[in-house]
Amino acid sequence: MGPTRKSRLMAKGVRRSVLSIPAVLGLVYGIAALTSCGARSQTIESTTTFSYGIGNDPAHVSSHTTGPRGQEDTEYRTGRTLVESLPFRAALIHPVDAVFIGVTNFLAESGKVPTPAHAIGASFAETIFRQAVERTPKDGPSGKPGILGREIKPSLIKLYTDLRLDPRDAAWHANEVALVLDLLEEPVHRYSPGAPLPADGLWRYLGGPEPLTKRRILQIAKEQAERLSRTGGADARVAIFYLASHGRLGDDGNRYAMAADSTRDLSTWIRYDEIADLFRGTRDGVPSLSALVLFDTCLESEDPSPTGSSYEPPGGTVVLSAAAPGQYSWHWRESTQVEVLKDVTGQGSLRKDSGRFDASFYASMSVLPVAIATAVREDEVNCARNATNTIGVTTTVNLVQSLVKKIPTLADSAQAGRHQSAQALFSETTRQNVMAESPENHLLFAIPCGKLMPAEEERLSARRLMASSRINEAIRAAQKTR
Amino acid sequence: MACSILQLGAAEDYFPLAAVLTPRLQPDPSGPTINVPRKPGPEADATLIALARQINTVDDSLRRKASSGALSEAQLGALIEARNVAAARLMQGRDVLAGTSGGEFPAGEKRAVDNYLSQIMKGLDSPKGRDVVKTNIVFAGLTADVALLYQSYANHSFKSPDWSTYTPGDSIKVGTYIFKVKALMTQRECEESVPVLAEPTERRICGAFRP
Repeated sequence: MGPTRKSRLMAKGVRRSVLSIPAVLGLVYGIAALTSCGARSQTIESTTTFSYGIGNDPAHVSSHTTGPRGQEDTEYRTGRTLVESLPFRAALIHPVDAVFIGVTNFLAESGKVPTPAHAIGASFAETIFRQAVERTPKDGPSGKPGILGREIKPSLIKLYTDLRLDPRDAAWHANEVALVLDLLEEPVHRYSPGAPLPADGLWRYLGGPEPLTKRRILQIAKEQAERLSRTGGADARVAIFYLASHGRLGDDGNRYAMAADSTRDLSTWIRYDEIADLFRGTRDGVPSLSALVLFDTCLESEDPSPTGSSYEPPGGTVVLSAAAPGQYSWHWRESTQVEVLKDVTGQGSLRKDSGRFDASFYASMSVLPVAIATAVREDEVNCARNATNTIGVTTTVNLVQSLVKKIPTLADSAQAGRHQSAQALFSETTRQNVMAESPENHLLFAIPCGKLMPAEEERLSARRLMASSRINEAIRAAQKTR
Repeated sequence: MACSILQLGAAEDYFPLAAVLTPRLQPDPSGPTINVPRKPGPEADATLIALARQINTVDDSLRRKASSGALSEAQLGALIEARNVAAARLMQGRDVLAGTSGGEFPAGEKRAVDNYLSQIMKGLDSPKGRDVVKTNIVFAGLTADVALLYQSYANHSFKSPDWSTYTPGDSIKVGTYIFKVKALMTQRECEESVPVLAEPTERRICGAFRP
C-alpha cells in the first residue's frame, strides 16, 4: 500500500531543513498491555525549587534545629530541589551506549569564561541513565540487568568532565557547586562526599584532570561509533552522545561546539556534523532512530537574522540542539535552598523576621539534562494515574519530542527577554523509517504505573514491580498481539 | 527592575550619584550600581570589567559636573538617564555571560554600551544650557519607503502608544529616545534606542532591518 495523502503531504512539507519533531512524528503508540505516557503538559514550573515535584507538601522540606533554646536557636531548612526529583521509577529497557561530556575549562586566549554548568549538566544526564539501569529487571544473560535476554551494561554509560572543585578557587563557587552535586547520587559522590570541600585545597575532580580537547572529544565519539559498528541485530544499542559546552553559529552557517583547546579560530572548534557524521554507516541493519546526538550549547551569532546551514544527519540519527541558530542556551539555576533562621530575641521562638535569613546556594547547569529528567518524571506522574498493574513506556521518539518542547520552557530565556527554542535535525529517511516501524523498536524506559506513594515506599514498590519482570511479560504480550 | 549590583567590591567603592545631585536630578532608581568585579568566574570577563570601569569613570565625571554646575539640569538629567540605560545594558550582558553557554560578553550589548558611553562623553563636554540639539537620525537600510517615529525612553518603558513623527534634521531636547522605523508597505517595525546628548547627534539605525 502506498503512502496516504496525509503522509505524502507531511513528507513534502518537511523534506529539508530543520524540523520540529512534534510536527512530523505525531505517532500514537498503542501497545497492548503497555500504557503510553506521551501525554504531557507543555509548561512546567521552572523557577522555584520548592514548587517542583509531586505536589508541594511540607514533606518536601527538611529541617533541623541546632543551638540551645533561650540562647541562640538556629533552624536550617533545606528546600526540595530539582535534583531530588530525578526520575525514580523509570527503568532502562533498551541497551544503550551512552557518552556524556561536559567541558568546563577553556583556554584564556579563547576569551570564553570557564563554567561548571557543563560538567554538572553532563553528570546529571549520566545519573539519570545510570540510575535507570539500576532499576532494570535482571533479565539479561546470567541474571544481569537486561530485557528479553539482552544485557544492558552500565559500563557503556560513560561520563567525561574536567570539573575541578577547589575551595580556594572562587571562580567555581566550589562549595556551592559541591552542595548541589551532593544531591546527585553516583557517580558524583565518588568525588564530593556529602560535605563541604576541605579548605586545605585538596582538589576534587568530577571526571578527571585530563583536558577535553577537540582531539579527545572526537576520539571519544569515534570509539563510540566503532563500538556501535560492531553491534547490531539482537545486540543493537541506542547510541546517545551528549556534549555540553560553549557553542556558536559560525559565519559559514555551521554549528560549532567548543573544546578545551579551542581558540577564537573556529577551525579549532568542533562542528556538529564532525560528531554526527561519525555515526554514518554504523547503524546499518539497526532500527531507525538509533542514535541521539545531543548538543547542549549556545548557537549565538552576530548575524541578526541567522538561519544556519542546512545539515542532514546520517540515517537513524537525530541531532538535537538545545538552541536554534542565533540563540543562547540558557542555564538552569539549580538551588540548594537553605534558610537559616536565628533567634536573636533570646526567647526561644524562631521567627523569620527575628533574625538572619540566609538562603540559596546555587549552581548553574545545562538545561538539556533537566529537560530529560522532567520529561521522564512527567511520564512517571502521568503513569501514576493508571492502574498499578500496568507499565508505561517512554520511547526515544517520545523523549526527543519532549526535549524539543521542554527546553524552551525550562530555560531562563523568558526571564531575560530572549527566546530559546530547541531544534531537532534528522533526515527524511529517518522520519519515514520511524513512522513505518514498530514502536517496540524505540522503547527506552519502562515505568511501573500506579498511585504515587511517599518517596521511600515508592522506591521499594517500583523496584519490586520491576523486579517481577512484569515488563518482560508485557512486551512479550504486545509482540504476540501484533 | 530592582536595583542590581554587580559583584560588589569594597563598600567604599560605591558612591551613589544621588548623594551629590539635587533631589530633582536623582538618577532613575532602576540604575544599577556598577562596581568592578573582583571575583573570578563569569564576572571576571575582560569586556565586562572594562565596560564596568568605564561606567565608573563616567560616574566620576558626572559627579564632578554636578558639583561644579557646569551643566544644566536638563543636560545632567539626560546624561544620568543615558548612564542608567548603559548600566542596564551592561547588566543584560552580564546576565547572558553568567546564565548561558555563550561564554563571553555579548557583542550586541558591548556595542550598545560603547555607543552610550561615547555619547555620554560628548554630552559631558557640551556647553552648559545646550538643552535642545540638532539631530540627524536616518534609517540605515536601502528602502526609503519607511516612516520614522520617536518617543522618550521613559515613555517607552511604560509602553506609551504616543509616538512623534521624526524628520532628519529636527532639533530635540536632550534625552534618550526610542526611534522606530515603520515600513509603510509591510507595516513591519524596528526599534532602536538613541541617546541624544550633544550636538550634532547623528546615527544610522536598524541596519539589519528588512522592511
